Amino acid sequence: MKIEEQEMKKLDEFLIKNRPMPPRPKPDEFNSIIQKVAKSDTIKEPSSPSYLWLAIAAGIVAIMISYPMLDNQKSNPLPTAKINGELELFISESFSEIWNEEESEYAAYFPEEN
Amino acid sequence: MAKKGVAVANPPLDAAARAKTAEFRAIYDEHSPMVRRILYNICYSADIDDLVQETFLRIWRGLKNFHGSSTIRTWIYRITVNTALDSFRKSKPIGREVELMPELAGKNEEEKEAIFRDLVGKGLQKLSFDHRTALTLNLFEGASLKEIAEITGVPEGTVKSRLHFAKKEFGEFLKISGAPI
Repeated sequence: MKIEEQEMKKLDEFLIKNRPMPPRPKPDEFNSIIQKVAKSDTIKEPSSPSYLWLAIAAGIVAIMISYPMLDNQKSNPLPTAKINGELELFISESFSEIWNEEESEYAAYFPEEN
Repeated sequence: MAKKGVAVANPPLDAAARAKTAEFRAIYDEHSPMVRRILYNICYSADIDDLVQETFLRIWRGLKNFHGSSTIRTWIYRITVNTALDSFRKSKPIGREVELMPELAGKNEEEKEAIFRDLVGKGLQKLSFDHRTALTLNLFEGASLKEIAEITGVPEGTVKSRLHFAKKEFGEFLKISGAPI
């Protein structure tokens, strides 16, 4: 047998002989586990099908209520949209004013083209 | 009538629940010493009772999905190792400093044994999670390489390599500590 193998064997024997041993369990350990099991099963109850259906129904109602509100928003734009609309109107009016002024000036210089 | 959402201390059990509890009791009686040893060797943790309870809670929840694709022992090994892994992830990392063994002179056999056991426990904690799992399952619990591969989800060759390096590292740790091997 190789030296390394012999060393490994000695190590295995030492580890097996001196492996750490856990403290003894409490005498009522199984009962504590069963209590935990009962508690976790009770806590899990809300996810039973009846509660699931209730949650789905609540979701559908919420969508039904919020949908007309969303639709209403489309026909009555939000104030920001109104402000944007006014701004666009203001800009287009300003541009048409500048354009008209420039056109009249141009006409003054080149009357033959008109 | 008991309110829903409130834990009942001693709920009345129907026949199916009684049978399931009896089956669970049998599993607990047969496998809890092994579960306790594995958790202790991998986690070397003070809250070993909590870990054992957590493992059996998972076993209870998983029983309905266990169809015998592996042996129940392998299945319980896997749950135990996963519980240990979760605990390991939450725990603080162990320092790499050298553990020197206390002086053995003047100590009786029982005291020496306690020192050696403590040293082995500390040595296990110096190994990586994968190495200590492989060592614990193979050397202390007698699980085969194939079984460990199935439990940890790695090829047998990887298990063999992990075992080799775990032992090598452990041997060096014991030499530095001054253990008489």
